Amino acid sequence: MPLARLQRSVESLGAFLVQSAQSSGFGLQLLASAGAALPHAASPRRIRDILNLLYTYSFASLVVVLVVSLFTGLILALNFLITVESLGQEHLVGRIVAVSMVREMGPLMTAVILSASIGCSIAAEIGTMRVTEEIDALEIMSISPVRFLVLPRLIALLVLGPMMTVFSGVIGILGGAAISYFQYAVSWESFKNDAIELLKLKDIFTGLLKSVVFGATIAIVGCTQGLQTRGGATGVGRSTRRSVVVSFLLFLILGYYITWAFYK
Amino acid sequence: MIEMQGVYKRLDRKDVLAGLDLEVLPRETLVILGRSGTGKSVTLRHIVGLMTADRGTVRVFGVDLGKASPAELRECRRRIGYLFQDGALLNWITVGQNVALPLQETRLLPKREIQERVAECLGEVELLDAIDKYPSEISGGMRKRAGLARALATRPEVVLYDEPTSGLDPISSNIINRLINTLKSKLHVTQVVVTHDMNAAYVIGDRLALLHEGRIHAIGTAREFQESDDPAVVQFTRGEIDGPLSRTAAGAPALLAPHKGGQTTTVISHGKESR
Repeated sequence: MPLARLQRSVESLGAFLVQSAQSSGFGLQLLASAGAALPHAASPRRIRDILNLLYTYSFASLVVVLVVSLFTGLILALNFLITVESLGQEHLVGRIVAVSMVREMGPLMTAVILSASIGCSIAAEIGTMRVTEEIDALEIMSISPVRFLVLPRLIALLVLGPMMTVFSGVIGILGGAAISYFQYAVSWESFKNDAIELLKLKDIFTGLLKSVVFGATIAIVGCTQGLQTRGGATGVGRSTRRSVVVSFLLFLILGYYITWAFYK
Repeated sequence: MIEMQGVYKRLDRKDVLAGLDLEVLPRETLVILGRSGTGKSVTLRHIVGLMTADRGTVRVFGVDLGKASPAELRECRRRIGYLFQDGALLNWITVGQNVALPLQETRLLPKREIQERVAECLGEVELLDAIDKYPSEISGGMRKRAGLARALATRPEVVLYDEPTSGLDPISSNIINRLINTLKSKLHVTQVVVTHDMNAAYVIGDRLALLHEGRIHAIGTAREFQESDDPAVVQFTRGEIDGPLSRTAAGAPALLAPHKGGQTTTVISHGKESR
Protein backbone atom coordinates (compact mmCIF):
# COMPACT_ATOMS: atom_id res chain seq x y z
CA MET A 1 0.00 0.00 0.00
CA PRO A 2 2.69 2.58 0.90
CA LEU A 3 4.41 1.76 -2.39
CA ALA A 4 1.21 2.38 -4.31
CA ARG A 5 0.74 5.68 -2.49
CA LEU A 6 4.30 6.69 -3.26
CA GLN A 7 3.77 5.77 -6.90
CA ARG A 8 0.61 7.93 -7.04
CA SER A 9 2.46 10.83 -5.43
CA VAL A 10 5.32 10.58 -7.91
CA GLU A 11 2.80 10.38 -10.77
CA SER A 12 0.98 13.46 -9.47
CA LEU A 13 4.24 15.37 -9.13
CA GLY A 14 5.27 14.32 -12.62
CA ALA A 15 1.92 15.35 -14.06
CA PHE A 16 2.17 18.72 -12.29
CA LEU A 17 5.67 19.35 -13.63
CA VAL A 18 4.69 18.34 -17.16
CA GLN A 19 1.59 20.55 -17.03
CA SER A 20 3.61 23.49 -15.67
CA ALA A 21 6.21 23.10 -18.40
CA GLN A 22 3.51 22.86 -21.08
CA SER A 23 1.70 25.89 -19.70
CA SER A 24 4.92 27.94 -19.56
CA GLY A 25 5.77 26.96 -23.12
CA PHE A 26 2.27 27.84 -24.30
CA GLY A 27 2.47 31.21 -22.51
CA LEU A 28 5.79 32.09 -24.13
CA GLN A 29 4.49 31.00 -27.52
CA LEU A 30 1.41 33.18 -26.97
CA LEU A 31 3.62 36.16 -26.08
CA ALA A 32 5.69 35.63 -29.23
CA SER A 33 2.55 35.26 -31.38
CA ALA A 34 1.04 38.42 -29.87
CA GLY A 35 4.32 40.24 -30.50
CA ALA A 36 4.32 39.10 -34.11
CA ALA A 37 0.69 40.24 -34.45
CA LEU A 38 1.44 43.76 -33.14
CA PRO A 39 1.11 45.44 -36.57
CA HIS A 40 -2.54 44.29 -36.64
CA ALA A 41 -3.23 46.37 -33.54
CA ALA A 42 -3.24 49.47 -35.73
CA SER A 43 -6.50 48.52 -37.45
CA PRO A 44 -9.50 50.70 -36.47
CA ARG A 45 -11.41 47.64 -35.19
CA ARG A 46 -8.58 46.59 -32.84
CA ILE A 47 -7.99 50.17 -31.67
CA ARG A 48 -11.67 50.36 -30.74
CA ASP A 49 -11.41 47.03 -28.88
CA ILE A 50 -8.32 48.24 -27.00
CA LEU A 51 -9.97 51.54 -25.98
CA ASN A 52 -13.08 49.69 -24.80
CA LEU A 53 -10.96 47.33 -22.71
CA LEU A 54 -8.90 50.21 -21.30
CA TYR A 55 -12.10 51.98 -20.25
CA THR A 56 -13.54 48.85 -18.64
CA TYR A 57 -10.33 47.81 -16.92
CA SER A 58 -9.61 51.34 -15.60
CA PHE A 59 -12.99 51.61 -13.91
CA ALA A 60 -12.75 48.05 -12.59
CA SER A 61 -9.51 48.78 -10.74
CA LEU A 62 -9.31 52.54 -10.10
CA VAL A 63 -10.97 52.70 -6.67
CA VAL A 64 -9.14 49.63 -5.34
CA VAL A 65 -5.76 50.97 -6.55
CA LEU A 66 -6.54 54.30 -4.90
CA VAL A 67 -7.45 52.81 -1.53
CA VAL A 68 -4.65 50.23 -1.46
CA SER A 69 -1.99 52.75 -2.57
CA LEU A 70 -3.14 55.32 -0.03
CA PHE A 71 -2.89 52.83 2.81
CA THR A 72 0.42 51.45 1.52
CA GLY A 73 1.85 54.98 1.70
CA LEU A 74 0.35 55.47 5.16
CA ILE A 75 1.75 52.18 6.46
CA LEU A 76 5.23 52.81 5.01
CA ALA A 77 5.41 56.30 6.51
CA LEU A 78 3.95 55.26 9.85
CA ASN A 79 6.33 52.33 10.29
CA PHE A 80 9.35 54.45 9.43
CA LEU A 81 8.27 57.32 11.70
CA ILE A 82 7.59 54.97 14.64
CA THR A 83 11.06 53.45 14.20
CA VAL A 84 13.06 56.68 13.87
CA GLU A 85 11.01 58.89 16.18
CA SER A 86 13.37 58.31 19.11
CA LEU A 87 16.38 59.12 16.88
CA GLY A 88 14.92 62.40 15.63
CA GLN A 89 15.23 61.39 11.99
CA GLU A 90 11.62 62.02 10.95
CA HIS A 91 12.74 64.36 8.14
CA LEU A 92 14.00 61.31 6.21
CA VAL A 93 10.49 59.92 5.76
CA GLY A 94 10.11 61.48 2.28
CA ARG A 95 12.89 59.44 0.70
CA ILE A 96 11.70 56.18 2.25
CA VAL A 97 8.11 56.56 1.10
CA ALA A 98 9.00 57.94 -2.35
CA VAL A 99 11.65 55.35 -3.20
CA SER A 100 9.57 52.45 -1.86
CA MET A 101 6.43 53.53 -3.68
CA VAL A 102 8.11 54.35 -6.99
CA ARG A 103 10.57 51.49 -7.19
CA GLU A 104 8.86 48.59 -5.43
CA MET A 105 5.53 48.94 -3.71
CA GLY A 106 3.71 50.97 -6.37
CA PRO A 107 4.38 48.55 -9.24
CA LEU A 108 3.88 45.47 -7.06
CA MET A 109 0.67 46.55 -5.33
CA THR A 110 -0.78 47.78 -8.62
CA ALA A 111 0.10 44.51 -10.33
CA VAL A 112 -1.46 42.50 -7.50
CA ILE A 113 -4.69 44.51 -7.77
CA LEU A 114 -4.79 44.33 -11.57
CA SER A 115 -4.15 40.60 -11.46
CA ALA A 116 -6.88 39.99 -8.90
CA SER A 117 -9.43 42.21 -10.62
CA ILE A 118 -8.55 41.99 -14.32
CA GLY A 119 -6.21 39.02 -14.82
CA CYS A 120 -8.66 36.57 -13.31
CA SER A 121 -11.56 38.09 -15.26
CA ILE A 122 -9.57 37.58 -18.48
CA ALA A 123 -8.94 33.93 -17.54
CA ALA A 124 -12.61 33.41 -16.67
CA GLU A 125 -13.89 35.14 -19.81
CA ILE A 126 -11.60 33.32 -22.23
CA GLY A 127 -11.99 30.06 -20.27
CA THR A 128 -15.77 30.29 -20.62
CA MET A 129 -15.34 30.99 -24.33
CA ARG A 130 -13.17 27.88 -24.56
CA VAL A 131 -15.66 25.56 -22.87
CA THR A 132 -18.62 26.97 -24.82
CA GLU A 133 -16.75 26.38 -28.10
CA GLU A 134 -16.56 30.10 -28.95
CA ILE A 135 -12.77 29.88 -29.40
CA ASP A 136 -13.28 26.92 -31.77
CA ALA A 137 -15.86 28.98 -33.64
CA LEU A 138 -13.32 31.79 -34.08
CA GLU A 139 -10.73 29.36 -35.42
CA ILE A 140 -13.18 27.87 -37.88
CA MET A 141 -14.07 31.37 -39.09
CA SER A 142 -10.31 31.87 -39.72
CA ILE A 143 -10.23 34.52 -36.99
CA SER A 144 -7.03 34.28 -34.99
CA PRO A 145 -7.78 34.18 -31.24
CA VAL A 146 -4.38 35.79 -30.71
CA ARG A 147 -5.25 38.84 -32.80
CA PHE A 148 -8.88 38.96 -31.75
CA LEU A 149 -8.59 38.25 -28.01
CA VAL A 150 -5.00 38.22 -26.76
CA LEU A 151 -3.53 41.23 -28.57
CA PRO A 152 -6.13 43.82 -27.40
CA ARG A 153 -5.87 42.59 -23.81
CA LEU A 154 -2.07 42.63 -23.89
CA ILE A 155 -1.90 46.17 -25.25
CA ALA A 156 -4.60 47.42 -22.85
CA LEU A 157 -2.61 46.09 -19.89
CA LEU A 158 0.70 47.38 -21.26
CA VAL A 159 -0.86 50.84 -21.19
CA LEU A 160 -2.88 50.44 -18.02
CA GLY A 161 -0.02 48.99 -15.94
CA PRO A 162 2.22 52.09 -16.08
CA MET A 163 -0.80 54.44 -15.86
CA MET A 164 -2.05 52.83 -12.67
CA THR A 165 1.46 52.52 -11.26
CA VAL A 166 2.06 56.28 -11.65
CA PHE A 167 -1.34 56.92 -10.06
CA SER A 168 -0.54 54.48 -7.25
CA GLY A 169 2.87 56.11 -6.62
CA VAL A 170 1.39 59.60 -6.45
CA ILE A 171 -1.41 58.54 -4.10
CA GLY A 172 0.96 56.52 -1.88
CA ILE A 173 3.42 59.43 -1.59
CA LEU A 174 0.59 61.86 -0.83
CA GLY A 175 -0.69 59.47 1.84
CA GLY A 176 2.78 59.25 3.38
CA ALA A 177 3.13 63.02 3.31
CA ALA A 178 -0.27 63.48 4.91
CA ILE A 179 0.39 61.19 7.86
CA SER A 180 3.89 62.70 8.32
CA TYR A 181 2.38 66.18 8.47
CA PHE A 182 -0.66 65.48 10.62
CA GLN A 183 0.84 63.04 13.13
CA TYR A 184 4.57 63.89 13.18
CA ALA A 185 4.63 67.55 12.04
CA VAL A 186 6.94 66.86 9.09
CA SER A 187 6.27 69.75 6.70
CA TRP A 188 5.30 69.16 3.09
CA GLU A 189 8.38 71.12 1.96
CA SER A 190 10.69 68.93 4.02
CA PHE A 191 8.97 65.74 2.81
CA LYS A 192 9.12 66.85 -0.83
CA ASN A 193 12.75 68.01 -0.72
CA ASP A 194 13.89 64.81 0.91
CA ALA A 195 11.97 62.70 -1.60
CA ILE A 196 13.34 64.62 -4.59
CA GLU A 197 16.87 64.53 -3.20
CA LEU A 198 17.05 60.76 -3.11
CA LEU A 199 14.66 59.74 -5.88
CA LYS A 200 16.66 59.14 -9.06
CA LEU A 201 15.52 58.86 -12.65
CA LYS A 202 16.66 55.24 -12.49
CA ASP A 203 14.13 54.56 -9.73
CA ILE A 204 11.32 55.95 -11.85
CA PHE A 205 12.49 54.00 -14.87
CA THR A 206 12.78 50.77 -12.87
CA GLY A 207 9.27 51.23 -11.48
CA LEU A 208 7.83 51.90 -14.93
CA LEU A 209 9.69 48.95 -16.45
CA LYS A 210 8.29 46.69 -13.76
CA SER A 211 4.80 47.99 -14.41
CA VAL A 212 5.13 47.20 -18.13
CA VAL A 213 6.50 43.71 -17.43
CA PHE A 214 3.82 43.04 -14.81
CA GLY A 215 1.09 44.29 -17.18
CA ALA A 216 2.27 41.90 -19.89
CA THR A 217 2.45 39.11 -17.30
CA ILE A 218 -1.16 39.66 -16.21
CA ALA A 219 -2.43 39.61 -19.79
CA ILE A 220 -0.41 36.61 -20.97
CA VAL A 221 -1.03 34.51 -17.85
CA GLY A 222 -4.77 35.30 -17.95
CA CYS A 223 -5.03 34.46 -21.65
CA THR A 224 -2.87 31.33 -21.28
CA GLN A 225 -4.96 29.95 -18.46
CA GLY A 226 -8.17 30.86 -20.28
CA LEU A 227 -7.16 29.25 -23.55
CA GLN A 228 -5.99 26.10 -21.75
CA THR A 229 -9.24 25.68 -19.84
CA ARG A 230 -10.76 22.21 -19.90
CA GLY A 231 -13.75 20.72 -18.13
CA GLY A 232 -16.69 23.12 -17.90
CA ALA A 233 -17.41 25.41 -14.98
CA THR A 234 -14.93 23.64 -12.69
CA GLY A 235 -12.22 24.15 -15.27
CA VAL A 236 -13.03 27.85 -15.55
CA GLY A 237 -12.74 28.20 -11.76
CA ARG A 238 -9.41 26.34 -11.80
CA SER A 239 -8.04 28.58 -14.57
CA THR A 240 -9.12 31.71 -12.74
CA ARG A 241 -7.41 30.64 -9.52
CA ARG A 242 -4.25 29.59 -11.36
CA SER A 243 -4.04 32.89 -13.23
CA VAL A 244 -3.84 34.79 -9.93
CA VAL A 245 -1.40 32.37 -8.26
CA VAL A 246 0.94 32.17 -11.26
CA SER A 247 0.86 35.95 -11.74
CA PHE A 248 1.73 36.61 -8.08
CA LEU A 249 4.68 34.23 -8.26
CA LEU A 250 5.93 35.84 -11.47
CA PHE A 251 5.61 39.36 -10.01
CA LEU A 252 7.92 38.42 -7.17
CA ILE A 253 10.43 36.55 -9.34
CA LEU A 254 10.52 39.10 -12.18
CA GLY A 255 10.48 42.03 -9.73
CA TYR A 256 13.48 40.61 -7.93
CA TYR A 257 15.45 40.15 -11.14
CA ILE A 258 14.63 43.62 -12.46
CA THR A 259 15.78 45.23 -9.21
CA TRP A 260 18.87 43.00 -9.21
CA ALA A 261 19.68 43.95 -12.82
CA PHE A 262 19.52 47.70 -12.11
CA TYR A 263 20.96 47.98 -8.62
CA LYS A 264 23.34 45.11 -8.11
CA MET B 1 -14.87 16.40 -51.34
CA ILE B 2 -14.33 15.07 -47.82
CA GLU B 3 -12.47 11.83 -47.30
CA MET B 4 -11.44 10.14 -44.07
CA GLN B 5 -9.31 7.03 -44.27
CA GLY B 6 -8.35 4.81 -41.35
CA VAL B 7 -8.71 7.61 -38.84
CA TYR B 8 -7.83 6.81 -35.25
CA LYS B 9 -8.27 9.20 -32.34
CA ARG B 10 -7.67 8.40 -28.69
CA LEU B 11 -9.09 10.73 -26.06
CA ASP B 12 -9.01 10.21 -22.29
CA ARG B 13 -7.67 6.67 -22.71
CA LYS B 14 -10.48 5.69 -25.05
CA ASP B 15 -10.32 5.03 -28.79
CA VAL B 16 -13.06 7.40 -29.91
CA LEU B 17 -12.31 6.83 -33.58
CA ALA B 18 -10.90 3.41 -34.43
CA GLY B 19 -10.09 3.22 -38.11
CA LEU B 20 -12.91 5.40 -39.41
CA ASP B 21 -13.41 5.40 -43.18
CA LEU B 22 -15.86 7.93 -44.54
CA GLU B 23 -16.39 9.73 -47.81
CA VAL B 24 -18.72 12.68 -48.29
CA LEU B 25 -19.67 13.20 -51.90
CA PRO B 26 -20.04 16.65 -53.47
CA ARG B 27 -23.51 18.19 -53.05
CA GLU B 28 -24.83 15.44 -50.82
CA THR B 29 -26.24 15.71 -47.31
CA LEU B 30 -24.73 12.98 -45.17
CA VAL B 31 -26.28 12.39 -41.78
CA ILE B 32 -24.05 10.78 -39.16
CA LEU B 33 -26.01 8.87 -36.54
CA GLY B 34 -24.89 7.06 -33.45
CA ARG B 35 -25.23 6.78 -29.72
CA SER B 36 -23.79 9.48 -27.48
CA GLY B 37 -20.03 9.20 -27.10
CA THR B 38 -19.46 7.26 -30.30
CA GLY B 39 -17.35 10.02 -31.87
CA LYS B 40 -19.81 11.88 -34.09
CA SER B 41 -18.75 15.36 -33.00
CA VAL B 42 -15.11 14.26 -32.96
CA THR B 43 -15.54 13.25 -36.61
CA LEU B 44 -16.80 16.74 -37.47
CA ARG B 45 -13.93 18.34 -35.56
CA HIS B 46 -11.47 16.33 -37.65
CA ILE B 47 -13.11 17.49 -40.88
CA VAL B 48 -12.62 21.12 -39.91
CA GLY B 49 -9.12 20.67 -38.52
CA LEU B 50 -9.96 21.38 -34.89
CA MET B 51 -8.55 17.94 -34.08
CA THR B 52 -5.83 16.02 -35.84
CA ALA B 53 -5.93 12.27 -36.30
CA ASP B 54 -3.52 10.10 -34.32
CA ARG B 55 -3.37 7.88 -37.41
CA GLY B 56 -5.02 7.96 -40.82
CA THR B 57 -5.76 10.80 -43.21
CA VAL B 58 -8.45 13.44 -43.46
CA ARG B 59 -8.71 15.13 -46.85
CA VAL B 60 -10.93 18.14 -47.42
CA PHE B 61 -11.05 19.79 -50.88
CA GLY B 62 -8.08 17.56 -51.70
CA VAL B 63 -5.96 18.95 -48.86
CA ASP B 64 -4.53 16.51 -46.32
CA LEU B 65 -5.35 18.37 -43.11
CA GLY B 66 -2.68 16.47 -41.18
CA LYS B 67 0.00 17.96 -43.41
CA ALA B 68 -1.64 21.27 -44.31
CA SER B 69 0.15 24.55 -43.65
CA PRO B 70 -1.67 27.15 -41.53
CA ALA B 71 -2.50 29.08 -44.71
CA GLU B 72 -3.95 25.96 -46.39
CA LEU B 73 -5.96 25.18 -43.27
CA ARG B 74 -7.32 28.75 -43.18
CA GLU B 75 -8.26 28.52 -46.84
CA CYS B 76 -10.09 25.21 -46.25
CA ARG B 77 -11.92 26.64 -43.26
CA ARG B 78 -13.05 29.66 -45.25
CA ARG B 79 -14.96 27.27 -47.49
CA ILE B 80 -16.61 25.52 -44.53
CA GLY B 81 -19.44 26.64 -42.27
CA TYR B 82 -19.91 25.00 -38.87
CA LEU B 83 -22.95 25.04 -36.64
CA PHE B 84 -22.06 24.28 -33.02
CA GLN B 85 -24.46 22.57 -30.64
CA ASP B 86 -25.22 25.77 -28.72
CA GLY B 87 -24.49 28.24 -31.48
CA ALA B 88 -21.18 29.40 -29.91
CA LEU B 89 -22.09 33.07 -30.34
CA LEU B 90 -19.87 35.73 -28.76
CA ASN B 91 -22.01 37.12 -25.97
CA TRP B 92 -20.66 40.68 -25.87
CA ILE B 93 -21.81 41.57 -29.38
CA THR B 94 -25.28 41.50 -30.90
CA VAL B 95 -26.71 38.74 -33.07
CA GLY B 96 -26.21 40.92 -36.16
CA GLN B 97 -22.59 41.63 -35.22
CA ASN B 98 -22.01 37.93 -34.64
CA VAL B 99 -23.23 37.12 -38.14
CA ALA B 100 -21.13 39.95 -39.58
CA LEU B 101 -18.00 38.88 -37.66
CA PRO B 102 -16.49 36.38 -40.15
CA LEU B 103 -17.12 38.81 -43.00
CA GLN B 104 -15.56 41.77 -41.20
CA GLU B 105 -12.59 39.98 -39.72
CA THR B 106 -11.59 38.19 -42.89
CA ARG B 107 -12.62 41.09 -45.15
CA LEU B 108 -14.56 38.83 -47.45
CA LEU B 109 -17.03 41.54 -48.41
CA PRO B 110 -16.94 45.33 -48.68
CA LYS B 111 -18.46 47.12 -45.69
CA ARG B 112 -21.65 48.17 -47.47
CA GLU B 113 -22.45 44.62 -48.55
CA ILE B 114 -21.94 43.13 -45.12
CA GLN B 115 -25.17 44.53 -43.67
CA GLU B 116 -27.12 43.24 -46.66
CA ARG B 117 -25.61 39.77 -46.23
CA VAL B 118 -26.31 39.79 -42.48
CA ALA B 119 -29.96 40.68 -43.08
CA GLU B 120 -30.19 38.03 -45.78
CA CYS B 121 -28.76 35.29 -43.56
CA LEU B 122 -30.87 36.23 -40.55
CA GLY B 123 -33.91 36.30 -42.82
CA GLU B 124 -33.13 32.77 -43.98
CA VAL B 125 -33.32 31.50 -40.39
CA GLU B 126 -36.33 33.76 -39.63
CA LEU B 127 -34.43 35.76 -37.06
CA LEU B 128 -34.34 39.24 -38.53
CA ASP B 129 -36.19 40.63 -35.52
CA ALA B 130 -33.32 39.63 -33.25
CA ILE B 131 -30.60 41.44 -35.21
CA ASP B 132 -29.95 43.99 -32.43
CA LYS B 133 -30.39 41.61 -29.51
CA TYR B 134 -27.56 40.11 -27.50
CA PRO B 135 -27.23 36.31 -27.34
CA SER B 136 -28.21 36.38 -23.65
CA GLU B 137 -31.52 38.01 -24.61
CA ILE B 138 -32.69 35.24 -26.95
CA SER B 139 -33.70 31.61 -26.42
CA GLY B 140 -31.45 28.59 -26.95
CA GLY B 141 -33.23 27.72 -30.19
CA MET B 142 -32.81 31.26 -31.49
CA ARG B 143 -29.12 31.18 -30.57
CA LYS B 144 -28.74 28.00 -32.58
CA ARG B 145 -30.48 29.59 -35.58
CA ALA B 146 -28.26 32.68 -35.21
CA GLY B 147 -25.25 30.35 -35.16
CA LEU B 148 -26.49 28.82 -38.39
CA ALA B 149 -26.91 32.28 -39.93
CA ARG B 150 -23.29 33.01 -38.99
CA ALA B 151 -22.14 29.70 -40.47
CA LEU B 152 -23.87 30.60 -43.73
CA ALA B 153 -22.66 34.20 -43.88
CA THR B 154 -19.53 33.36 -45.86
CA ARG B 155 -21.60 31.28 -48.31
CA PRO B 156 -19.55 28.13 -47.66
CA GLU B 157 -19.31 25.16 -50.01
CA VAL B 158 -19.55 22.72 -47.09
CA VAL B 159 -21.65 23.12 -43.95
CA LEU B 160 -21.17 20.90 -40.91
CA TYR B 161 -23.94 20.69 -38.33
CA ASP B 162 -23.42 19.42 -34.79
CA GLU B 163 -26.85 18.43 -33.45
CA PRO B 164 -28.72 21.18 -35.31
CA THR B 165 -32.15 20.31 -33.93
CA SER B 166 -31.40 19.07 -30.43
CA GLY B 167 -33.35 20.93 -27.79
CA LEU B 168 -35.46 22.77 -30.33
CA ASP B 169 -39.23 22.95 -30.53
CA PRO B 170 -40.75 21.19 -33.56
CA ILE B 171 -41.28 24.44 -35.46
CA SER B 172 -37.68 25.61 -35.02
CA SER B 173 -36.49 22.10 -35.94
CA ASN B 174 -38.51 22.23 -39.13
CA ILE B 175 -37.15 25.67 -39.99
CA ILE B 176 -33.63 24.28 -39.77
CA ASN B 177 -34.49 21.08 -41.64
CA ARG B 178 -36.13 23.12 -44.39
CA LEU B 179 -33.10 25.37 -44.59
CA ILE B 180 -30.77 22.37 -44.87
CA ASN B 181 -32.89 21.06 -47.75
CA THR B 182 -32.98 24.49 -49.40
CA LEU B 183 -29.20 24.80 -49.21
CA LYS B 184 -28.92 21.40 -50.84
CA SER B 185 -31.45 21.98 -53.62
CA LYS B 186 -30.76 25.63 -54.49
CA LEU B 187 -27.14 26.28 -53.57
CA HIS B 188 -25.88 22.68 -53.92
CA VAL B 189 -24.04 22.90 -50.63
CA THR B 190 -22.36 19.73 -49.34
CA GLN B 191 -23.56 19.06 -45.83
CA VAL B 192 -22.65 16.75 -42.96
CA VAL B 193 -25.16 16.58 -40.15
CA VAL B 194 -24.59 14.91 -36.80
CA THR B 195 -27.88 14.17 -35.10
CA HIS B 196 -29.87 11.78 -32.95
CA ASP B 197 -33.11 12.98 -34.47
CA MET B 198 -34.25 10.15 -36.78
CA ASN B 199 -37.16 12.15 -38.21
CA ALA B 200 -34.77 14.93 -39.21
CA ALA B 201 -32.33 12.37 -40.61
CA TYR B 202 -34.99 10.89 -42.88
CA VAL B 203 -36.10 14.34 -44.06
CA ILE B 204 -32.70 15.84 -44.82
CA GLY B 205 -30.31 12.98 -45.46
CA ASP B 206 -29.27 11.78 -48.91
CA ARG B 207 -27.30 9.14 -47.06
CA LEU B 208 -27.27 8.10 -43.45
CA ALA B 209 -24.25 6.63 -41.66
CA LEU B 210 -24.39 4.81 -38.34
CA LEU B 211 -21.26 5.28 -36.25
CA HIS B 212 -20.45 2.63 -33.67
CA GLU B 213 -17.26 1.82 -31.78
CA GLY B 214 -15.34 4.47 -33.70
CA ARG B 215 -16.22 3.15 -37.17
CA ILE B 216 -19.02 3.43 -39.68
CA HIS B 217 -21.20 0.41 -39.01
CA ALA B 218 -23.80 1.04 -41.69
CA ILE B 219 -24.28 3.55 -44.47
CA GLY B 220 -27.12 3.95 -46.94
CA THR B 221 -30.16 5.95 -47.97
CA ALA B 222 -33.05 6.77 -45.64
CA ARG B 223 -35.18 4.11 -47.30
CA GLU B 224 -32.43 1.52 -46.94
CA PHE B 225 -32.12 2.37 -43.26
CA GLN B 226 -35.87 2.09 -42.77
CA GLU B 227 -35.99 -1.26 -44.54
CA SER B 228 -32.77 -2.67 -43.11
CA ASP B 229 -32.95 -5.72 -40.87
CA ASP B 230 -29.45 -5.18 -39.55
CA PRO B 231 -29.92 -5.46 -35.77
CA ALA B 232 -27.84 -2.38 -34.99
CA VAL B 233 -29.68 -0.25 -37.53
CA VAL B 234 -33.02 -1.57 -36.34
CA GLN B 235 -32.11 -0.93 -32.72
CA PHE B 236 -30.96 2.63 -33.38
CA THR B 237 -33.77 3.67 -35.67
CA ARG B 238 -36.41 2.26 -33.31
CA GLY B 239 -34.64 3.37 -30.14
CA GLU B 240 -34.73 -0.08 -28.63
CA ILE B 241 -32.89 -0.55 -25.34
CA ASP B 242 -31.53 -4.03 -26.01
CA GLY B 243 -29.46 -4.84 -29.03
CA PRO B 244 -25.97 -4.82 -30.49
CA LEU B 245 -25.45 -1.11 -29.84
CA SER B 246 -25.99 -1.68 -26.11
CA ARG B 247 -23.02 -2.83 -24.13
CA THR B 248 -23.01 -6.25 -22.55
CA ALA B 249 -22.64 -6.70 -18.82
CA ALA B 250 -18.92 -7.26 -19.32
CA GLY B 251 -18.65 -3.87 -21.01
CA ALA B 252 -17.80 -5.29 -24.43
CA PRO B 253 -19.96 -4.53 -27.46
CA ALA B 254 -22.55 -7.14 -28.28
CA LEU B 255 -21.85 -9.26 -31.34
CA LEU B 256 -23.27 -7.93 -34.57
CA ALA B 257 -25.59 -10.18 -36.44
CA PRO B 258 -24.65 -10.97 -40.06
CA HIS B 259 -25.92 -8.32 -42.43
CA LYS B 260 -28.86 -9.27 -44.63
CA GLY B 261 -29.72 -5.81 -45.87
CA GLY B 262 -30.71 -4.42 -49.23
CA GLN B 263 -28.63 -3.99 -52.34
CA THR B 264 -26.88 -0.73 -51.61
CA THR B 265 -26.69 -0.50 -47.85
CA THR B 266 -23.11 -1.05 -46.88
CA VAL B 267 -22.45 -2.56 -43.52
CA ILE B 268 -19.00 -2.43 -42.13
CA SER B 269 -18.35 -4.74 -39.27
CA HIS B 270 -15.00 -4.82 -37.50
CA GLY B 271 -13.40 -3.06 -40.47
CA LYS B 272 -14.54 -5.62 -43.06
CA GLU B 273 -16.97 -4.42 -45.61
CA SER B 274 -19.85 -6.58 -46.79
CA ARG B 275 -22.71 -5.89 -49.14
